[in-house]
Amino acid sequence: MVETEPIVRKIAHGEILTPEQLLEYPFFKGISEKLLQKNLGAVVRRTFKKGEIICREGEEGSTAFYILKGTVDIFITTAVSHVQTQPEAKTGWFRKMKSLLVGPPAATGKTQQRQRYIPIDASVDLSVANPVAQLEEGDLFGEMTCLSFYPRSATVRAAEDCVVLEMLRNILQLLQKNKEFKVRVEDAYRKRTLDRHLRSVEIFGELSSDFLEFLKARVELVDFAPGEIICKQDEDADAFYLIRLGNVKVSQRYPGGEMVLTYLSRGQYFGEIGLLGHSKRTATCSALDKVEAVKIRKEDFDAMVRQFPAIGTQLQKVADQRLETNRQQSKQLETVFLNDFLGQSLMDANNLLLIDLEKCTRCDDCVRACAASHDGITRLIRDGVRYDKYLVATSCRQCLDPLCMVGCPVGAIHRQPSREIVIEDWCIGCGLCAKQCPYENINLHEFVVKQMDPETGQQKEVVTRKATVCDLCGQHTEPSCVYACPHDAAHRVDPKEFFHLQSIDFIFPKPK
Amino acid sequence: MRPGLADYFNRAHPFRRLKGRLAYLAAALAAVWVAGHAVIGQKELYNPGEVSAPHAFIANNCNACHSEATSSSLLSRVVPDRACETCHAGPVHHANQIFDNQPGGEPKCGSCHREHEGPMFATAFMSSSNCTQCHSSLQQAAVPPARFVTNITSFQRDHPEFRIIREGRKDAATIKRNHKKPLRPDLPGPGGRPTKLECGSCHRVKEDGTAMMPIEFERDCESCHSLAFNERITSPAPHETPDIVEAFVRTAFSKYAGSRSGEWKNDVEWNPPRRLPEFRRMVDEAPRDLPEWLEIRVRDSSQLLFQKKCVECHEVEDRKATMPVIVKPEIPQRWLTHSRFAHTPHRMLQCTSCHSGAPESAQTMQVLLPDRATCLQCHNGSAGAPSNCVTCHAYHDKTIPTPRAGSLTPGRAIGNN
Amino acid sequence: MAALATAAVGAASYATQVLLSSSPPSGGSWPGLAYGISGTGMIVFAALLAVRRKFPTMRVGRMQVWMRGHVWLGLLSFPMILFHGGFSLGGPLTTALMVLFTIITLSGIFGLVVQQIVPKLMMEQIPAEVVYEQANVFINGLRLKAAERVESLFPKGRDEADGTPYSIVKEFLEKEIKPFLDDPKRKGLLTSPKNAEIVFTHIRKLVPPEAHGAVEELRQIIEKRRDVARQITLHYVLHAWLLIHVPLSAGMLILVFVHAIMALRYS
Repeated sequence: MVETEPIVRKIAHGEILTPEQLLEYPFFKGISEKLLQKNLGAVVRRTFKKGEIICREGEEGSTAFYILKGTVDIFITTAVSHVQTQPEAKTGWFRKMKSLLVGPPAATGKTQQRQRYIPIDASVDLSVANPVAQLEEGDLFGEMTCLSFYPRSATVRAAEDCVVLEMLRNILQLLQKNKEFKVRVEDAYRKRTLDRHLRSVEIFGELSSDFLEFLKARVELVDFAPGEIICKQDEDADAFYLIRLGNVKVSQRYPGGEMVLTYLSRGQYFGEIGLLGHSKRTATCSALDKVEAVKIRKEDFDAMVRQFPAIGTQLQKVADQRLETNRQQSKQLETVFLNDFLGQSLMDANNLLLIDLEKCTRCDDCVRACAASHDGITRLIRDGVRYDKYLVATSCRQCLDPLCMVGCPVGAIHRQPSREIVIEDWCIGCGLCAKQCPYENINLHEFVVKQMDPETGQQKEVVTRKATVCDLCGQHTEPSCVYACPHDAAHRVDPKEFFHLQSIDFIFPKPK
Repeated sequence: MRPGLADYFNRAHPFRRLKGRLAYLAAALAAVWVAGHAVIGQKELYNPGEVSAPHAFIANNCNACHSEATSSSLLSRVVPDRACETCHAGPVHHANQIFDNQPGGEPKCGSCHREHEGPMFATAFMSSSNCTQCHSSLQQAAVPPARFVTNITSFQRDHPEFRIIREGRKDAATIKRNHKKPLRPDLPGPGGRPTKLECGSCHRVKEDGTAMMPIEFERDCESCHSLAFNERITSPAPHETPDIVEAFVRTAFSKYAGSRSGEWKNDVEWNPPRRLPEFRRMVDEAPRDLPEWLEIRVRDSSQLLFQKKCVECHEVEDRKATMPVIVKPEIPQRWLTHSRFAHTPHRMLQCTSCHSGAPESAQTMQVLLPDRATCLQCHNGSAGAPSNCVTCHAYHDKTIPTPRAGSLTPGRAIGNN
Repeated sequence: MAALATAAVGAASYATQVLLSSSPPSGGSWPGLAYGISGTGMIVFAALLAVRRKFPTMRVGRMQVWMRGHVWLGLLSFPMILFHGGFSLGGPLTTALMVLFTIITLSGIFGLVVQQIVPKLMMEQIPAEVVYEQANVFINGLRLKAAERVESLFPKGRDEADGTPYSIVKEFLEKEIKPFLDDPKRKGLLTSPKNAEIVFTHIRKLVPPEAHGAVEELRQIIEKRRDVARQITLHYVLHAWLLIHVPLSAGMLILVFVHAIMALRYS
């Protein structure tokens, strides 16, 4: 008799299925029983009653769920609201201690051009206005958490009694090799989300639905391993990629180093210009983790366009516009000079908040002003490393390589063209960006928000967390902290220019 | 992030709290201090300075001047003229003066007279700027033609020369005044003794120390210029008009004759004439009876007086007449009509320090008043003597009766403007 | 810009001072009133700085401009008020005002001087500055760290025994380090840096090499505490004058208000 090894429980709850039970499922076909036996316990079957929470947004996790039976509601409970940056401070005595959140953008009367969507770790995206959706039998959710250990992007609750399979990464990877499984997952994506993702691409946005249907049917779903280079700078642009899952790093090479332009995640895309004409890649795109993408080859696209000629001219116009913008942007970027004399810690920064310690009277007016213009929460801490006579305050440095941006489960953090970091309203407060910023410039704050409790129907106070970061007060001419310093001690500077103005001794400070 | 760094600035640090509390405390103390004084009705808190010594009797009674009864509006407690006029009279300066661009306009008492400057401060003291605010560029009506110089800024700079001297006026007194003669050193005095006259022998200062007394014959002249007319009559003739003098002479002789009825017969000239015609005339002319003797005597004495003695000083019309007419001397009592001069503050000086022309003056018409330059020797703003306007000039026209002459109006007439 | 304003006003006041010499105008006369009003206006603007700082993001002018205005106009207001009063103290209320005003101006000047000197001193003398309001939290942290480090020397698996490095260091902790962390100024072995050096060298000799790391950390903790004490002292020097300047200003403002009303009413 074969001695069975003691079963080690790898997933906290659930019925551990034997390999035989697993192989009953069609999508497990082709997987060796031996492997399944080895990984016993890495996949479990769980049943949930109606109303039970399967997973919560923001929690750590390492498993994916596959719905065998039943439907689930997938939604975000965190109030879609942001810590307002006020153009004129109305705070002071009354609201110093309390902080208030402003309602979702619709409530403030600002209309959106297009409906905004929150990309989550499932085959659907949630709309910002009403972040609720359903998943049903055959849907998979939690892939990113499972593969790359990002926090849960949404709360999932059983809408009726359901049965799910919860699995660890090794099982999921095995399953993804199974063709049937893959097709099933991809179909779900194609059906529900691909349309909208394609429409969100600027150049596809105005196209007729016929063309889009045509396109949808002919896209390729490809995947990349972590670290794999999807396309290289200066190569011929020959394909368009739309990210379905994972994170992609977009970087440019300069004499002296490499600068990360941005990180792209689910629902974002790159390379569309390559479809329209002959151009070279302006940046290198590489997969940070397991990336699954929608690929449209240029040849295929050309063929499709030939069938819809009117589209071609329209697209050409857009292409010309974009090329011009790109040219201008690249001109700006060419002037960046990466000085690698000083340590990475400062030179990674594009914009530092320096406080001149010879003038600063430690009055904290800068901190107060930051809090006043961000509704009681300061984005700036008057503490940090020192450089010569300056204190480098703890406030966003606009890093060349924005590590904070990688892996947001709901895609809430992104970078403006002027390089400010913006965290969108639907941040669920998981804290990943805060953990990833090496300088502790992103911090989580708790807010008490009145929310409608769906169970009782009453307003109840809920504590919710949001990540906050310095946004350089874009809507003002000058950042509030600099504006409010009475002694001209606070300055936002580009360290390369600023320190170049100093003498050469500065770069090699004399030992004291 | 280290705990507490997110919102340390929101929590009031004890230092800041202390600062805030002290601020409120200080403000409260100030308010209490003020309110406390208001509650006990003590207004001295707001006193900008002590009142001058003459007003010390109402120093604690702000309402004496700053009262609702006297103020023009309910809110204001500005002192109106009414309050000052309770005790003081402030007659108008000039009937047609223009102040504040209004004919007949008057500044308020408080425009020039300042109080609350301390006990030693003379409220009546005026600096020249109060006067020169108008008189530095005086606007005068065209008709009647201007009487005053229009641009005076200070005594030493552009005060005009005194009008008497500027216009070269002459002393028109009809009296023979020769200062040179009496001031010479070997003057024959009463009884023939040589005497030396000083200025003060004839000129005396008024009791109030301001001007000199007008020369009175009895007091100042008679001691040398006696009006004795006959050795028989001891009392001299009065210093009166000729008719009174004649009547006096007659009465005196009558009295004399009355008591010595037979003496007239003995009235023989002590120096009888040697020559016969003269002797005959003497006999012819000798009085035959008492009345005739009286007449002769009266006639002789009157002639002596009128033709010799009066004429010494006075202008006599028709000298040889029995009753001549003596022209009234009309000696001017005041030369500077627009200012007041006080001799007493100048008593340390010699008379001739200022009236330098007197010892050499031999003619009546010479005006012996000192000119402005003489005054400037001391009153020039830097030599120590005051040279502001009120030293000599007065603002208030004390000759005009005010409807409410206050109970403390000084009785003296300082002079009119 | 502030310099221009200074020059303009200073020139005007100099010109009028010539007029002043002929006869000092009273507070109520027209030149006196002009000085009074301009002086009060400057004082009120200076006081408004406190309000401005409560709303730091209101875009009504950079805080720097307000601060410079506060300093210059505040300095200018002093001679203005002197001209207003004709260099005399007047009655009780005005004397009180002048006294307060003088103290406020002098304290302000002191603050101005101190602000040029002390930040540099702080920067030079305290390499690892903490946020002042968090000093207590930091010192607590030091206490915990010290206790923790000493506890880490506790010999594992054995009962406490005298003479072990742990007990020596523990006694040192209780007798010297903890009181020093509470109050560095009180008399103790560690009060002067030189003594502290000697003491730590001595301790290091008494304990075996394994414990040297902990002793070194304790030494660093002591030095950090010393730095924080120095920082707090400098912070007081930099800010204590405000405890005079601000409250007296509050009191003075009330009195200015009362004086203005009463003087205008009665003159």
